[in-house]
Amino acid sequence: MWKTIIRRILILIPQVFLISLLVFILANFMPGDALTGKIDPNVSPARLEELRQQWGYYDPWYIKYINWIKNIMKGDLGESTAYKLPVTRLIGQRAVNTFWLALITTVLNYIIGITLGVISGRYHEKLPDKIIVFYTFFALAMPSVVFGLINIFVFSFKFKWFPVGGSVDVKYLAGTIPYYWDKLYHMFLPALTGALLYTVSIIQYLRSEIIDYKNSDFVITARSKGVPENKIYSRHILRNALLPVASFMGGDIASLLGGSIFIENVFSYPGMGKLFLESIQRRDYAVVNALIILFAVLTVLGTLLSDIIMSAVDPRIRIK
Amino acid sequence: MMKKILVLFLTAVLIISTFGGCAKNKDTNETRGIENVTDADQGTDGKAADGEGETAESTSATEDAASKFPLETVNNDPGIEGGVLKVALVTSSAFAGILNPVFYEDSYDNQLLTWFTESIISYDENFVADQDGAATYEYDTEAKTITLHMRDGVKWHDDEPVTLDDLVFAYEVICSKDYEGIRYGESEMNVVGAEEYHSGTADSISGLELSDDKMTLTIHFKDFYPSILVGGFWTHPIPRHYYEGIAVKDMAADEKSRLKPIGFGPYKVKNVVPGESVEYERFDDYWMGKPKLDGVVVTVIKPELVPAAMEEGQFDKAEFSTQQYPDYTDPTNFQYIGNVETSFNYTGFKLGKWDADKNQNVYDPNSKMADVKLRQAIGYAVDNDTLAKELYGGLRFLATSVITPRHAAYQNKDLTGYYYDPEKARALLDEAGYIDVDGDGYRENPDGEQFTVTWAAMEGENAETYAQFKIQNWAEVGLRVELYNGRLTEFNAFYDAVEGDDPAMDMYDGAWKTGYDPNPAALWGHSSPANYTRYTSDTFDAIIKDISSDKGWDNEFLIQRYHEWQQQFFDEAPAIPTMWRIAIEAVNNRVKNYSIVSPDIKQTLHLIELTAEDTVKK
Repeated sequence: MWKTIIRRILILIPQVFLISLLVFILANFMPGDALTGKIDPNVSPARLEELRQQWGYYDPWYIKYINWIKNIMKGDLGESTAYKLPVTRLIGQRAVNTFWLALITTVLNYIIGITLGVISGRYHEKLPDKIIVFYTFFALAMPSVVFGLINIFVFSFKFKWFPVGGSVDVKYLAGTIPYYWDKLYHMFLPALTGALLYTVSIIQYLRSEIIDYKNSDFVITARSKGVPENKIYSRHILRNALLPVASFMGGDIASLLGGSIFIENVFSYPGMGKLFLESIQRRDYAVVNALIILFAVLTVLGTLLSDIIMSAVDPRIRIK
Repeated sequence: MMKKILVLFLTAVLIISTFGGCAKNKDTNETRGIENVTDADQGTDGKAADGEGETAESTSATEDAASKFPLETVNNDPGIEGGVLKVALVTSSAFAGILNPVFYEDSYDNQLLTWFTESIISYDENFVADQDGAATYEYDTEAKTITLHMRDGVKWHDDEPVTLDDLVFAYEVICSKDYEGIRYGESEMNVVGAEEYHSGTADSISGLELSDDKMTLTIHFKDFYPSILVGGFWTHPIPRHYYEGIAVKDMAADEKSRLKPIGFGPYKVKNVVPGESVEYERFDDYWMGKPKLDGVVVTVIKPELVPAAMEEGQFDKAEFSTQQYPDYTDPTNFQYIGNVETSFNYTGFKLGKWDADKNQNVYDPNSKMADVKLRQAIGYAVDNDTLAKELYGGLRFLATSVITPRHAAYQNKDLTGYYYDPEKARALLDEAGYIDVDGDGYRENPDGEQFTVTWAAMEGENAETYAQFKIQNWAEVGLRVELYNGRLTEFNAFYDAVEGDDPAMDMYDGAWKTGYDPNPAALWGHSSPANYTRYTSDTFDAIIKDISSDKGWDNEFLIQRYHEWQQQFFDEAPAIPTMWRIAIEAVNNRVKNYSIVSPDIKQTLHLIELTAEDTVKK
């Protein structure tokens, strides 16, 4: 298995390389640059020209690309033009926020998904199932931006249970225990909003698997042996039914780490998804390129993780 | 696996192509807002026109609009001791957080800066430097110098005295060759020795002459004209002792410009959550006296949440968007204060090319829009009053000139502007020879060929309605106008095309913020690349030359030339000013002594008081 993992990681290199090349060329086609529209009576155009020269805007794209790759080899992802910070430091700040939000979202996602999926499968065609199926369609149809705004309106403005946005209240000093509590408190509503929407696929998969397994031979055997119904579900059906769900996990982790563009934007939560969108708007090329590469690596690693999880939970599957 | 990457990649492309656009132009516009700048506003904004088209009415409409909102909060309750003011920073993105006056670029960082640091010079209502700031000044037109005198007892937040050496330091940073910001411009180069310092041939800026006690500074200028007193020299010191040992190129990224900045303003920075919020506490040794509040908290909020947040009392003050205002005209727990902005919207005509080698605009008298009557007709054809009323709840109004009412001393109040008068537009077009020969309802050009005007307008809220309305207005007088590329244009693409003189574009809708100095040289001058119309004329050149020269020290002459210039601009019409704008802020009822002009020209933030422990809720 180790061999496979190493091979997979090696394949990653040309893939990322190819992506970086494509992204670079396309980014070059975007109209405007970080200084577009900054001309005004107080900013001299000669100054903007000087900066453009200095930043190498007029170099052909392949020169820019080669310089960029050279710097990456040295561990330098460039400098953000909007934030005037090294990209690594900027992404570092945001990655922490995104990581914790992703973790909580994933946990909630699986708690809700597995619970509802099992109930729905077990009480197939009965009232609980109907309610849950209705919910899944509702959640599928609901745009995350709208759902986020509704939640903010109801829970932040009306009931005042949660803050309106952001990641932490400014009155807590970093490193103290109340500070971390407050971070958690700020994360809960966005995480719940995300989880309630993303959980749909888990519910649906689990439900159909459970319904399938309910009438399979080994379940009928267990039932005829007199195994209690609860045990049949927890020991026999659930273990099998969870297999496809487990295969999602790697991909889920990867996509959540990339940050949810929508959730982070609605809740003004300063994570990587929000940074990505803002950087595109500001033509902050160094950040955009670095993030796309990062997302690509995460995706490939996520798939690999999925395969590893699969082989761990299902002995019949072996990575070759 | 590849498939997933492809999906990811396509998503990225999709976002780049769709999302990028709409959000940016909103942001950037707001971004450019405060920093005495220019920018296009969301979308298409159009031509000027006063409903009935009568002079008297248009003038009174201007005054009505301007006096609709108070400049200051109205609150007669007694103030409480201390309290914390909750301020909203209205933006849908995280703030950049460059908390240093030399390096920051957008208006959000500027808003954060105003609470803890300020200009050593304050300005009067005409934006001319006065003697009320932390430093006083005198000038000498013969010697071409300004001499600054620092007041005693002005302290940085770490108790070190503020000296004019700190201003010299700011100059040295801006003029350094390692400085990567946008501030190094013509007014800095106008200081004797600045260019030598920038190119590295001099170790210091020879034109900055500091006294031994560092409390008097004489600045020598190469050219000395009235604009220098209107924000034409640098007045934001940065603490030399605090940045000691930090190279200029590392300064913007340093913690001292990010998390622990110091200034000499009424409040000092206590804590910064990057991109989200800043907490300030009172600075007891503030030079104008101890501020009334215990502290201030500034927090980012998305524009769409502002009305609800204000009603629920989450904030004491927030900028209120023009688009949201019509739904919240009668608030109970907060009040609006507002002021006319120094910005105007306009329709510009592409009349030439930018010559990059000679650094000047070249007017092409044979260009498609070269007929002045055609341009005037385009101005008279649009009903801007209806647009302003229906789309902006009266927060915009007919602009009669490119000098806004905020520069009242210079504004030519006799001008009527291009009000709505379709009859006049038709008559002008007939005169110019644009006549409908083939009877399809649209006019042909004087040679009898089909005539279509390509018009660029930006994406944004209400932009589609706006654009279609104007196109209909133009169709009613027989002009066929089509959108550039057949649709609204995204912010970056728009400026790329406008700045690059795309020949496919005949006219465009933009907006400028003029800042302190209304000198037309910057926006309409012969050698200004920001003169996107590329129009030049001898009359313009002559007037602008007078305004920019030392003749302008004669104030009466200056005003007269400004008035003539506006008349000339109206007559030659290289662009049609369409709307002036009112900026409003929502302020909770418990806030006292807050004024919207502060701290734009004068520091009054230390006077703010609260009259209740908690915000007033709906």
